Amino acid sequence: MTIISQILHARDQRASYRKQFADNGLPSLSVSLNIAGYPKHNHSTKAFFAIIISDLKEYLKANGITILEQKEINITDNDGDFYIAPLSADSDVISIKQITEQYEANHPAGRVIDIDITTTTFEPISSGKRKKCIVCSNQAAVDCMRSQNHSVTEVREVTFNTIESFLLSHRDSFIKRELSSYLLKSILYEISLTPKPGLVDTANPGIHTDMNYYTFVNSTSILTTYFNDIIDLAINNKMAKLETVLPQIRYIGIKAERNMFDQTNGVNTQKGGIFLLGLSAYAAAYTVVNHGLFDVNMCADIIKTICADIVKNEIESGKAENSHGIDCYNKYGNKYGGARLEAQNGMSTAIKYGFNIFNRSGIEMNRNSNKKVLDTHLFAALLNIMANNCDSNILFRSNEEILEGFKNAAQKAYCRIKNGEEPQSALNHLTTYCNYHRISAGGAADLLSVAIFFYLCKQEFGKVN
Amino acid sequence: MEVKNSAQAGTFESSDILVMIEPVDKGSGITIDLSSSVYMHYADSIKTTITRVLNSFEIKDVKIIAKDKGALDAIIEARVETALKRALGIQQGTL
Repeated sequence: MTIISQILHARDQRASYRKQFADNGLPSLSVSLNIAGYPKHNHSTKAFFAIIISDLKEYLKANGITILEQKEINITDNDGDFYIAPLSADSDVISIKQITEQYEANHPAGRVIDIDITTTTFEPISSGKRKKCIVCSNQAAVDCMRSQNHSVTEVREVTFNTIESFLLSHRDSFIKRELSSYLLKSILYEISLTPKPGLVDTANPGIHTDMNYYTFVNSTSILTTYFNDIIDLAINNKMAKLETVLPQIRYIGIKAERNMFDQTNGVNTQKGGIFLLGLSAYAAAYTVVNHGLFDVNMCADIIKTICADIVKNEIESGKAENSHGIDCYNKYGNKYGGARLEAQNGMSTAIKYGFNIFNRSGIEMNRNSNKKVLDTHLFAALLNIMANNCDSNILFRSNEEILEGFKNAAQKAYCRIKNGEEPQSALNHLTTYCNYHRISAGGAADLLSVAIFFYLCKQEFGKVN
Repeated sequence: MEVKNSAQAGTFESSDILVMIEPVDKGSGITIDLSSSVYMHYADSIKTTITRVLNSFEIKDVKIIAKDKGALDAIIEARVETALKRALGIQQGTL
């Protein structure tokens, strides 16, 4: 069979589906793609078509249109991708046609999509509207098609570009939605982990007198929208020059910080967290968007590049406004640079002592709500970070000796958790130590969130598709 | 040749044409009842294409009802040819 007769045969087949439904007293809705020339389907059209069908079903449902899904037919043949499903017998086909035309009109790739409604008398519903040509936009598609105003090559190029750019932006919004949820989850996991020595948790505020669990819920709730803005920064300016993006990320981070203080009536719950997670959000989005997958080392290198010399430029120069990190750096030396030093080192503490704990065990963290498994892993990571981090939140309130004592106690608690001991008893000594010295490892808490975030990213985007 | 039976080929899809063939009395000639989404510019061209296929089968008397959605000449030829073959009993129909 020639190609043309294969295509015509495929169309006959489609018409016969419509007729079968019509003969059973059912109108039908069918979807196909306007692909000029041959072949009429490929890897991209398949992906595009699957997205359209799933999205269209939700659109129909939202508009109160019932399709009999159990009788749907989804095929790919010589005329391309095709979907058909009967509508309920009592459907108002005229208004359904109008609603599906709205769908085509509002869809960014609507000119590629053809939604047909066929009546029970086997007739197509037509509103008489003429879809515009995908190439020149100022003429009806059917006119350009008939007079072959554009070469098949040109039409195909425009069509596939439209499909590709839709797929790209669909992928971008998927990435954004996922990363955004991981950021929120990483903060919620950290703050929900109970009992945390010295730190605020769901049961008590640790050594803090000015904040509790709800203070964190309040500030956390406002952060998501700013993290989304940071992700957008990476998505909307792909392959941005990393050496110059820090002010842009900060521009958003500073707004986040102001709103955090507004939500907490001036209490600093997550200033360091905003900085570290903001940078991590940008780096993760940049990695996934530009390289197609997440790699923690790549991400670390990106943050190192963005924050190169930040300690020298901002702390040593005395330019930055005061923070615990800066005070400790000035008082105790360059081991203690707070969140800035961690960023300059590409989140080395969070990755080495937190992320690696998850990564070695391979714990399934997405869609997991097994409290015991999560608690064990989160405590192990938190304690391992505490045992190794030069936490300026602790140092600021005490001295080097007390910090070293804290790290040793955290190390012991980490070993006990690793040996399967219950958190309550394993953490007992460390909690007493924190309460006695009135110290709280706020830095470690932020780093735990970063570690969780990176691990969630790795689980979803770490594999080559 | 002489058309003795009704037959049809094609679909209502865009860039396709539905061609229905009806027998008429000998000597009544060829009538083409055409509706098209590109009627204004292409009615004559479509009719010429249909007539060309009819001539190649040496059909003198027939009524053609064609509902066109912007089909190209090659498609029109293929659809008319299939409809004719069905009407002449040369090819089985599916619809």
